[in-house]
Amino acid sequence: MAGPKAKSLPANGSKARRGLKEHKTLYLLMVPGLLYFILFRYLPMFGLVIAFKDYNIFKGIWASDWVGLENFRDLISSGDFWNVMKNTLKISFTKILIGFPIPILLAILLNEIRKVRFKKVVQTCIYLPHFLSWVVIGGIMLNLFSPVFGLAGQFFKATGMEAVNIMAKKNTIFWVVIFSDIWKEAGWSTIVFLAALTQVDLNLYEAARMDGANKVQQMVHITLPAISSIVIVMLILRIGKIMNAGFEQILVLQNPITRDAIDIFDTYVYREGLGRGSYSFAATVDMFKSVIALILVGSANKISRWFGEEGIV
Amino acid sequence: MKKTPNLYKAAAGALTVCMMAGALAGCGKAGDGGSGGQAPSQAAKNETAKAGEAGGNQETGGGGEEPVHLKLFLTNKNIVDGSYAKQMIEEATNTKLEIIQVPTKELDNKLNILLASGDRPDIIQCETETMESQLLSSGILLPINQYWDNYPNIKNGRDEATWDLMRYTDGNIYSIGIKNPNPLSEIAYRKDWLDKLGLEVPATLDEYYEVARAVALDDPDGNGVNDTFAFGGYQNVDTTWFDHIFGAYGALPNYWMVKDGHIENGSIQPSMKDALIYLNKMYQDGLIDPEFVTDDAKRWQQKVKSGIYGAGVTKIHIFDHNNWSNYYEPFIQAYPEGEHVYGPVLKGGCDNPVGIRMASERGWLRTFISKDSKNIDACLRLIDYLMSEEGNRFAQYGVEGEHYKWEGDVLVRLIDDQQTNELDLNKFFIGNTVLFDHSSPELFDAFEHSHTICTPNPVDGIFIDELNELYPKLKEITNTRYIEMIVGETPIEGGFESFVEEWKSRGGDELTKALDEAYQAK
Repeated sequence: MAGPKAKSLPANGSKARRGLKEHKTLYLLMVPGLLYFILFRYLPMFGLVIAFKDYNIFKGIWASDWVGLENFRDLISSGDFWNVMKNTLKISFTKILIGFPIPILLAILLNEIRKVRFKKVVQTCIYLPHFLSWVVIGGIMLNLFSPVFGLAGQFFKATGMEAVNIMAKKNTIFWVVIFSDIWKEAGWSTIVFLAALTQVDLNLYEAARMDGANKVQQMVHITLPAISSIVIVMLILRIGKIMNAGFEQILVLQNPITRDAIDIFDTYVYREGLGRGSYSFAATVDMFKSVIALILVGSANKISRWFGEEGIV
Repeated sequence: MKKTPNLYKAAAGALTVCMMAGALAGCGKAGDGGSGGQAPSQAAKNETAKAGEAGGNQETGGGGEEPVHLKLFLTNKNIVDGSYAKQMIEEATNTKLEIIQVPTKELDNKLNILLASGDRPDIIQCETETMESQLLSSGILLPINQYWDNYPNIKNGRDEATWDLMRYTDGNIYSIGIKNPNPLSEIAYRKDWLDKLGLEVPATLDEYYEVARAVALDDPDGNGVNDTFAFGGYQNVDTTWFDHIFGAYGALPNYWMVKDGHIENGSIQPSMKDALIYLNKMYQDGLIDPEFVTDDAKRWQQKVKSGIYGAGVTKIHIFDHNNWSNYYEPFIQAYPEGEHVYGPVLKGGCDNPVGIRMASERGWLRTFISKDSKNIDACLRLIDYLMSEEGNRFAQYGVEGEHYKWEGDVLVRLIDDQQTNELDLNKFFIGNTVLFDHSSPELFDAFEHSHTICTPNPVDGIFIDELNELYPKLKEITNTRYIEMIVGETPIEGGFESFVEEWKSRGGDELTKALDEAYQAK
């Protein structure tokens, strides 16, 4: 998308027309994608007006009363907001901090494996959990961590420790969220880095070996620089999702005790908007969230350019 | 350049596909009122049904006319298109039913989405009072009482008192509830375990503690593992399963009560603190299933059926030896010697203990007809049939001689649960009365007893906007804080006081006042 779009906006009008004529086919190919974005991404955005209204489903969007910024004022002054904000950032940053380097490490390790079959099997095994839905994983975890009937219960009994329900403790649930996410997604993210690693020129390694570089030195001076641009791109994309701390996962793992401890924007919007029917308030929260996310991606992109990388735009 | 023609072809192909998709999307938007949009497989059948709509509008009897197409929004019972019961009901009422089925938990969400999209089913069902109150005040519902003169089965299907409870503030009746015995829970103990442990059915809190302790820790099932509990629950303290303890202290959380002539909520009664201390002790001693915080209704149900709970409030269904709702069968398979016995409201907590909470007398599911339905007569006809004695019994049991037979006044089913399920019998819960023609005497005995240990809701049937806006949040706060205190995440000393403060300041006082005014006016 980015390529043709950038080309279609030159300063000179006649030049643009010539460009259009020259690459007619390419532009035609662009149309379906554009239509998709307009229909499913841009048009629905007009629904955001309900953030400034007191939306009533029976009156419809246009007939509902305008309330100005009242929803935003309610949001900032509500006690839930700062908790939700804090949790979202905390969970997201921890997921990035711990979860982001792991796929890179896995990719490098997998790349070093010489036995192709073994490598394939390991790779498949670690990305398999990606295809399970959180609802299923939630069910498995409930059984696994059950302090009475589960594996955790047997472990506690065997070690003589006091049985705790780690799914129902404020201070343990946070790490359950982080590590279950890593377990599920790390293998999947590894694939991108593995692909990038295959592009590395093997001659470089050979040359380095000739100069007496050991494995670690090769890794630091060849492998990492070679995939650094893809790492930066992935990081920017990841930061773009920082306000989405994992709706499905959190929803599955929430219970009365852990609700406040891991409540994030999406679950909050879901409960307030759909659960209680206050759509306007939910739209306000979501809009707020999206604006913050936009600022974050923008700044991440800027920063990456300062560091001399290409960025995504 | 050689490749260009191919490229053009590909582009043209992609474009065509895209335009078709666009056109389809456009269609969906333009034909919002269209009824077959969501079920393409049905589209063809619906065409014919639609053609008959005009005719179906005037006639009420059926017979020769094209069946009328109705769109129903119901709680999920896995009714299958073309199944036996569905076909028979369609035939009897000359309708063609398109049923949108949603799990009860998702009912409100999905209905909100459906209504927001402007797509209104002819018949709507909802479970929560929040949703009901939203619907009632919206003005999109049909005042059934203005139409029911032609439909005696609807009008006579409930007694005056029930209809009075259903009456909205404007004097009209918009909803029909499922009629079910109330309450559907019972304070019960495992008789076989009590006998084995040499204990009696407890009457006071102290005796109860002794029983609960023995049931949970003395290995009554004799398997050598500590895997039995007094009781469990699922993520809420207002689900009846804790009511024997709360009630013993004179109030029920998230339940309204009359105190000194005024409406008050049980959650913030000072005596609840003692109840929480009692429950916290039970939890610390391992008498309550620690998974009650994480379990959902399904898991809890499985546990009840497998018989690991032995002293507390449980589903009354477990008393029915003829296996109503499939509770007794799995239980008795796990414990061939198993037997339940009910017990009284526990004394020793306060001077005026109360019993367990009741569901709304209005019914656990309420059915409405959309005012804008093009086929109001067909809607009423369908409900009238399902509320009639004949229709009601058919929908639950099927046809006499084929699916059941009478032995005296007890109905004996000739088909098992699986067959019932496959025929889609016992699935049409639309304004019906739940029948117990097949149940065993133990159940009726338990029903009779349960009526003596329950506490009616004084504001049942009162609808005010505040209930809608404030109560859900307050209930959530109560549940969360109570559970935190029970499992010891928050100390009860000080924790309870700050909970009461929070409850009051987040709209509790306002709601109580408004509700009291409405109560006094009624």
